[in-house]
Amino acid sequence: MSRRAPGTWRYDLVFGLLLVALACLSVRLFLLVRHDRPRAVQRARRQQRRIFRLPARPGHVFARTRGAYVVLAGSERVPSCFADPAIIPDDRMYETAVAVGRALGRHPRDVLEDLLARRRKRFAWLAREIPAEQARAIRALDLRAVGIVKEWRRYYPNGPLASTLLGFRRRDGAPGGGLELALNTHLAARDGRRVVLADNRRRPLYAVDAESRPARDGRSIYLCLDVYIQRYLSEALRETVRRFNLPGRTWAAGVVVEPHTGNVLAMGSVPSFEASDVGPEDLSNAVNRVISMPFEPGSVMKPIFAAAAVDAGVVGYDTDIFCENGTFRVPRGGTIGDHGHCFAALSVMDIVVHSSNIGMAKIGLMLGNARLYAIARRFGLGEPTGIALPGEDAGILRDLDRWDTYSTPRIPFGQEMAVTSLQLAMAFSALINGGELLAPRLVDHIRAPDGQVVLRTPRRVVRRVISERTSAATREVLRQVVERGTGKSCKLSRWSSLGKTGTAQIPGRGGYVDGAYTATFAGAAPADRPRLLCVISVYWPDPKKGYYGSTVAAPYVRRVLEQSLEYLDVPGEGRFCPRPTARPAEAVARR
Amino acid sequence: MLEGLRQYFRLTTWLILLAMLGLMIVGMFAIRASEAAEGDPPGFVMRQLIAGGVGLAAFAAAVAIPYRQFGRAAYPLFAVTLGLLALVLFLPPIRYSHRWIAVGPLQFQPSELAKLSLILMLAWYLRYRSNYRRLLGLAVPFALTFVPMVLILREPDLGTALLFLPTLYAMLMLAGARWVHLLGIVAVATALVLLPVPRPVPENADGAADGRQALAYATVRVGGQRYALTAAPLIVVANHQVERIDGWLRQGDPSVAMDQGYQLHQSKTALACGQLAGSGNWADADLQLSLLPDDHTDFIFAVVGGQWGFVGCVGILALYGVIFLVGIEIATATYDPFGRLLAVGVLGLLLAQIFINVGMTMGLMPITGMTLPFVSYGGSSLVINCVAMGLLVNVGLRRPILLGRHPFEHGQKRERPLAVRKMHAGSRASHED
Repeated sequence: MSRRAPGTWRYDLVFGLLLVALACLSVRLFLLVRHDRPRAVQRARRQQRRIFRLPARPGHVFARTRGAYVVLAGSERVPSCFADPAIIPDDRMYETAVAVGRALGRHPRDVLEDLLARRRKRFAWLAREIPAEQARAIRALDLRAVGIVKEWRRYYPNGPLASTLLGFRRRDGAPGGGLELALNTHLAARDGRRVVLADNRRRPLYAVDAESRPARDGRSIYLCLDVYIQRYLSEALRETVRRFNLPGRTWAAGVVVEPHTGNVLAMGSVPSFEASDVGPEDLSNAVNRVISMPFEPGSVMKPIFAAAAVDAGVVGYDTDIFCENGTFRVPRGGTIGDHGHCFAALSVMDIVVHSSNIGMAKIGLMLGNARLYAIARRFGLGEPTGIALPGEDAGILRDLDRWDTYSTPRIPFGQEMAVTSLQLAMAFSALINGGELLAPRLVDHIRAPDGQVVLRTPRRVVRRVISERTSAATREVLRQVVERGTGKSCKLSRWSSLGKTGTAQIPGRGGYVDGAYTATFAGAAPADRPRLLCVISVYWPDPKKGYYGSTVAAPYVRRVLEQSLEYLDVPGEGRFCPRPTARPAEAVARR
Repeated sequence: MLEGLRQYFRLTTWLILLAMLGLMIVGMFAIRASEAAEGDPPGFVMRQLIAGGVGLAAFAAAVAIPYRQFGRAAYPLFAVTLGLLALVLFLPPIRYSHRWIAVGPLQFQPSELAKLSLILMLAWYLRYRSNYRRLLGLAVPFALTFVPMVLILREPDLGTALLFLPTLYAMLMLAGARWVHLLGIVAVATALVLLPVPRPVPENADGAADGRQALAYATVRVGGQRYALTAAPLIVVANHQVERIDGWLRQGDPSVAMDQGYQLHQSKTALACGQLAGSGNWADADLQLSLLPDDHTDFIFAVVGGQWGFVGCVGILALYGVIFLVGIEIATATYDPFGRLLAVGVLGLLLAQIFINVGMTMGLMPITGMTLPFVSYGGSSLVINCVAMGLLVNVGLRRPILLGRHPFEHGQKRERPLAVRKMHAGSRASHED
């Protein structure tokens, strides 16, 4: 074959280019389809779909009153005013600010500033959570660039009542502690969404049902808490802190439980805060000290160890123990005194009634460390009670191998350990309810938005700690404490009561702090079958004004019990008493 | 009668006609799809059908008349075209540009005619010359191309104007202009285009807002006045063109995706959503098209990609490929210099349109107003492209009997008729081997 004609490379070049160009386009296209597809589909979906949020209502929290429930924490829809600054023309800016300012009661200059700060943006808040009439005024303006949205806002109709227990919610609806946090899985609402295909001007065309879902409201929590009793307790706590306040030191925690069921009827601590308006400075007060602040309990532990010793058969309540005339040198255990008293021989009952440290120390020596430790564990010390609240402290109960000969006489009168008020209340309930340690019951039941009960919490017995007989005997001993012992200030007008005081020193670095005490009183009534048990602990009251459990805590326990029993219509005993004609102040119903 | 027609239906004719019809039918469906996406159909399909009928008639006419007759009319036609191009500048603008001459309900784009008349004119001019093998000799063909280009740029219609250069180059290349010259001209032009020119910038100018600022090579400060060093043409061209180039150069940047690069962004999204053989989700595909401006005209390729995916797009390119292959066959088979130049000009024009249009929907080229031949909506473009195909077929049907040498075989010391050279080659074989 002959040579190719000269100059044919021009044909090859030009014609080759034609085909190469087509191939280039195909390759580029292939890469586009293969490589960019996932992102492109995402982009396309995003710009084709408009998603409308359907806000769901978070669940309510209810508390009991006599025979009904009232809202402790609820959600309501409140209007807020927003603007779309980008679509306001320059020459309408000032007019808009003036009109909106007038409707909202804000200075037009401030409104103008808000608008100008986000001049090119499509959204700016002008006022959050405005009253309904302001919202109506804004609507009446009929401005295209200013609108009203309704948001769910948490409100607490009872103000600071039980606020440390409830916790709070941030403005975005996230829970900030307390019950709101602990039960948020139930309370939280799941917002619904409506997905709509939109055209090139974002006008909705039609809905995509497969991708939409309805809003699901939160479930409502029904507590065992009683609003009236909660109010009596809060007032009592506030009163004692007001009277015995050592600024910056004192706090008080109190809890009211039903000894036979474990129902928590009231729980509060002072200082507290206003849940509907929480600022950063409130966060140190948003602590539920009933469960999260352990303290050294002192003498209030005496009946627990005494009852356990009686139950074990080591002693009987009538066994006489020599109390060393006020000074007891424990072998390899230091010296123990009886805070000024000089008792000779006391029965175990009188040891509890007169709160003799030496007597308890001797019972401790009879029991020995291992049995003391077992008793403490049995009564639930050193472990959380398992109440449905966040941040519960286990208290302090050191391991047995860290106990020494100093522990043996001191543990029985409540030293070398720390308990929370709630642990104390549950342990005391076990003492007086027939011997069963119960789990505290805060939540009664939980209902779905349609009213169906989705969760019911039954009464739960943790374990039996003492026999029923011992429990009955202990009730009598504790009644004697109020009758003729250290707890006289808890005598009630119409009911018999029982209780035990505690005045413990506060341990600091290298020993006890001078003049620093925790005053505690655990009291229950009526004495033969207690309906209510109230524990109040006041931490570090001003020692110049009083620091004994019998003066700082017991009168307030008496007040709470007195008011609560009356409110509960518990029949009086013994002396004749006329039935009260007026109900307690209907403070709750006022809201 | 039938015997008389048979001469027109050779294989090449069939292939080109079928490819053309195929493209037009795909185009109709794509236009229908884009119409359906908009919600209320303005009746583009019907008008395109009428234009297609007119185009086929024009195709038949362009086949029937021997193409040398067109050649003889090339100069007068070119003059008329220039006249129309000048005239359109004085007519009232339609959509902000002077592109259309409106006659009653019909609109006509002289720039479409200019494509064709330029090819005819260049082919007629170049057919028997060899002076363009010198640098100075290139001046005339370049000048003849620049006159309509400048007029079209004034309309303004940058896209159409840009088509003329690759067409001119394809024809010059095949006619035998020296590649050193041609590449030299490209190099000098590129250097001139990219030459940094200082442009004063006002002190308070917002860099992001001004496309020129964003495209500047650098900013310098001389004596208290800021100057942006910008490529020369960027100073001349209109604002929207600067924005398009900006949007093209910053394709990955989400900040321009909804602004300068919006059309390109939507087009690429539509193409990529089309998958290999169409998205399958018609509601989504339609919505994507409703977000893409100019989808029935300049961005019809994105519609095809969104509706029928990669397969559909490659099918269209393959149909063009058929036209190219047949066109190459026609160009190489003819020995008539005018016919060959005409064929190459038509192919070059077609390729330039396809490459720029398809390239711009995929982000390979900056966006210019440009139709996709046979597929895009637009009567003038359809008819003129049909005529161009007609001319191509025409050349293929009328192959002259070779009497002289092969055309454009430069580079030999002495140019002799082919028959003589073949004889010599045969006799010299023993000496060379």
